[in-house]
Amino acid sequence: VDTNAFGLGGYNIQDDLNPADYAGSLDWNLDTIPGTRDLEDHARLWLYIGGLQTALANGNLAIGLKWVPFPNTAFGTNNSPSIKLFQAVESDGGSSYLTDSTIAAAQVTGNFANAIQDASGIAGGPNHTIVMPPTSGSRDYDFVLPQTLVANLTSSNSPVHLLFEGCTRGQGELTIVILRNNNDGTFTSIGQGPGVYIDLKDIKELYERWTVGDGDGLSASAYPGSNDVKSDAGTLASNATISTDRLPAGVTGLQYDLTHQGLSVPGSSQGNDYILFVHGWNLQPWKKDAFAETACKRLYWQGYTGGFGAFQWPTTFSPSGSEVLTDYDDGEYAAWLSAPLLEGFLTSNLKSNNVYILAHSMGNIVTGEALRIAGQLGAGTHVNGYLASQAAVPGQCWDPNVTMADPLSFDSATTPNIPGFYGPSTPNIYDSWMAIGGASAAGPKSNFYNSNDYALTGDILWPLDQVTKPDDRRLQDGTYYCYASSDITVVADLFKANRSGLVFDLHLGNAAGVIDRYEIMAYAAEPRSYPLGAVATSVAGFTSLGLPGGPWTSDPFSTGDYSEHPWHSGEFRFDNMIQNKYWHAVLGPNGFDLLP
Amino acid sequence: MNNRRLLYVALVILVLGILGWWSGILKLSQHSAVQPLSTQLSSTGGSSSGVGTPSKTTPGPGAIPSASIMDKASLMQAQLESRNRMNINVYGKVVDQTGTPVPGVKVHGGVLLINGFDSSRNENYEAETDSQGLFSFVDLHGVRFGVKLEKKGYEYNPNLYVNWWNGYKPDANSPAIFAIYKLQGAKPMVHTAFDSRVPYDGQMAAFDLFSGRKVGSGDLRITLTRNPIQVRRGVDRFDWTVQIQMAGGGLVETSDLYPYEAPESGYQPTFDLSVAKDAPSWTQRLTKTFYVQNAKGDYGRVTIDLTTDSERPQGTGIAIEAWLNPSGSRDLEFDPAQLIKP
Repeated sequence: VDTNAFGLGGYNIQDDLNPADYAGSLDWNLDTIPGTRDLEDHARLWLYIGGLQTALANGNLAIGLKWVPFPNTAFGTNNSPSIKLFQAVESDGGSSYLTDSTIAAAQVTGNFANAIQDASGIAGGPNHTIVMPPTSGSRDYDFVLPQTLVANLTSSNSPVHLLFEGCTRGQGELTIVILRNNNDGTFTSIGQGPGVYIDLKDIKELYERWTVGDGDGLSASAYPGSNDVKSDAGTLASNATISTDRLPAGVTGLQYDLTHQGLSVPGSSQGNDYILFVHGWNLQPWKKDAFAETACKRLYWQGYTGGFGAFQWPTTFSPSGSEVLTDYDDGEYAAWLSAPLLEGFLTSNLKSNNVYILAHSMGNIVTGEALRIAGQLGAGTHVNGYLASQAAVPGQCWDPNVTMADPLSFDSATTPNIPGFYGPSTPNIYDSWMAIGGASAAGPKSNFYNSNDYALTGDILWPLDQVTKPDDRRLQDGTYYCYASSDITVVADLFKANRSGLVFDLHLGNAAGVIDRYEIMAYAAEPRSYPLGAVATSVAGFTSLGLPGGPWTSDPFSTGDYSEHPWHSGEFRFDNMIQNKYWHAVLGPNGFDLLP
Repeated sequence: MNNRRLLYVALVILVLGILGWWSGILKLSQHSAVQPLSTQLSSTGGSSSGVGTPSKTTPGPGAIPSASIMDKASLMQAQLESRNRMNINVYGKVVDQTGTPVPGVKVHGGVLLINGFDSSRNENYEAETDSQGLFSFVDLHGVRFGVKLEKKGYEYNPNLYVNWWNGYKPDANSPAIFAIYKLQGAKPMVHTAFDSRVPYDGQMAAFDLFSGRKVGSGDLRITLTRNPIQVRRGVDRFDWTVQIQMAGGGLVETSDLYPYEAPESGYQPTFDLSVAKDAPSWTQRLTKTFYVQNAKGDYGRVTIDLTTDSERPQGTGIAIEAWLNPSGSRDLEFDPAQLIKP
């Protein structure tokens, strides 16, 4: 038996986002591969059958599989490894099913999509498709390959090329069993071949989930106080801890140590590398996991063998998926407030790793501010690389020369003539805010941008939200903001908030003490530039990479220009075939530069 | 004036000053009831804190907002709906690689409509080019518009026109031009795509385009020199030069939209580029497509994506994709079904 997946390193058994299955439910229960996206949950299994071709072809012999427990272990409730098998569509057993849309489509079509049924009827599941050990005692074999799979083997092409998907957790040695076919539906073991050690784990046992809180998904209500995250963002913890939420039964949250390596491969040249994923806005808690797990798996398939973790912060979100437009500012406030916790986490927990941060969308508020604080505190460089992807942070925070025009020039003829819409009506407080400090706290920085991004460009969503700051029209909770001067040419400490009729001064503070600046930036102060993730020009300190036409090579939508909503999170939402080059670029010379 | 009288005068001035200041506040507050919020609020007490620990502020007297002001969500919704209603008129013309208009092309038009931060939708329309290759979509409504072109025997690369919509002004007399390629017939070809690293200290790296491997005898040879050799990626600007050589053959840069036919002549032994650190258009990256001819006389095309600023000691990253026609023909159309495996 040969496998190109893991040995004892583990393999995930959980499924992820399917285009038609956003409930996050497991789909290994199906006896078909539901779509091309699911293929990233499948690994290759090759069976080398030497010298038995004739006997297999005439049906006198059969090939069985049998789970053998590791020494000093036993199968049972807490250790029950099981898999389903599929015939590989690639005649050479290649891995293009992960990267090539045409081959992937063929793999999920017809017989190739169907789980192989055991020829003996002994295997688990209603259709006898689950290769699993017996619930008690032992037996000669746990699964028998159908004769059609082994009837046409030749001496020059002896491997049986299969894919497998993990079903339930556990570890054991999956061995080949040579069987005599009794031609009555039973088989007799006449020999046992070599095996492959497999350790099947839940995906949440393969990467670290650090959390500082989840939103509660409730719409914003009364504003509880100037420095609390609004109610729909939930509660902000005092420091990052390993998440115990959303864990399947029997699974504990992974924290890397010598005996729990997760996806990382001990002894690898990337063994000390650690990619930390920081998610964006409007993700339900389970989606935070799904995005992280998608990233984790796809980086693994790119050959990444270091550690992987997610930093989860309490973004606002809508349970129904139809977010309230102004919840964005609540989410941004939560992002700013989460930044010091990320900085503390990096300093306390990842100091000995080579840390690379991949931040998506509003996650770049969290990350950029954390880096700024790190620089401010003089912690020195403790992030080896920072990749800002589709970053929803004003570009001018990193480079004051990033301006780009409409609509943030505030004078577009295309903007509606709504009183108070035209600006700016607040001073410019964003220039170089993150660059001063942040530049020194991280090594090479990359900007993966889409100048047609759905959320970040145009004059409707992110830009309009920024232009309409200060939120001087009432937010849902009755709060509103203003800048109490018509002179915006100089920065003055005149931001104010009105909560339920009471006026509060908000103070800008300074780099060493931000006071109310996070609230001001989230709700009141207008930027002067497009967000970093939409900036097509060079950004000081960053390596820029345009996604459309670069790592993104085709847009399935009729608009064809990567402007539809899913592209803002395309690397997570589309299948790996469409996004393979994106994840390659993350590790490539314009990203973390971790390719061999 | 004795000291007691001076004290009385000072006291009176102080009281008048306080009354004046208070009167001003009242005026500002009264004024605020009918003015935009930016002038409504009076000054109140403040607070201070350290990095990342913003503190509570102090409440003070303030104005009650007018209930008639449109809330921000409604304002954004109104703008969103306004943009979705934007009139779209598109006039286009489809030509082939020779500039000849192509009739009978199916034009799939897509209109982007925005639902909110978290979802979009699109509407699909179809047209067909006339005898002059012209098409139009008139009186549509939405935010953006994209096209995909389809005709048997032709190839269309939509990535060439990802940003065509930006700045487009509809004019029936000046249609937007879209180029498609009239296929000439794919030939069996070698296709390789690989990543590797190139030293940045002037040492040559050689690649075999047939096998996609970095080998000393490879025919594609790349020499990169940085000055200084050690740089901080993304931070430093630096002088760099690169020489790309096809050993025993030659190469010629191309910007053809569809680089499917190698030129007969014009090949040079090397391609050389020097980039000065103070150049206005300085970049750390080289992305080029070349037609190549190897020592055997075979033609091909090579795309090189070289990033010059890696800090890795093993060299800086390069991505190479090559298509070679080993028949000696200059035809470079590729069909994966006719792939020649090296």
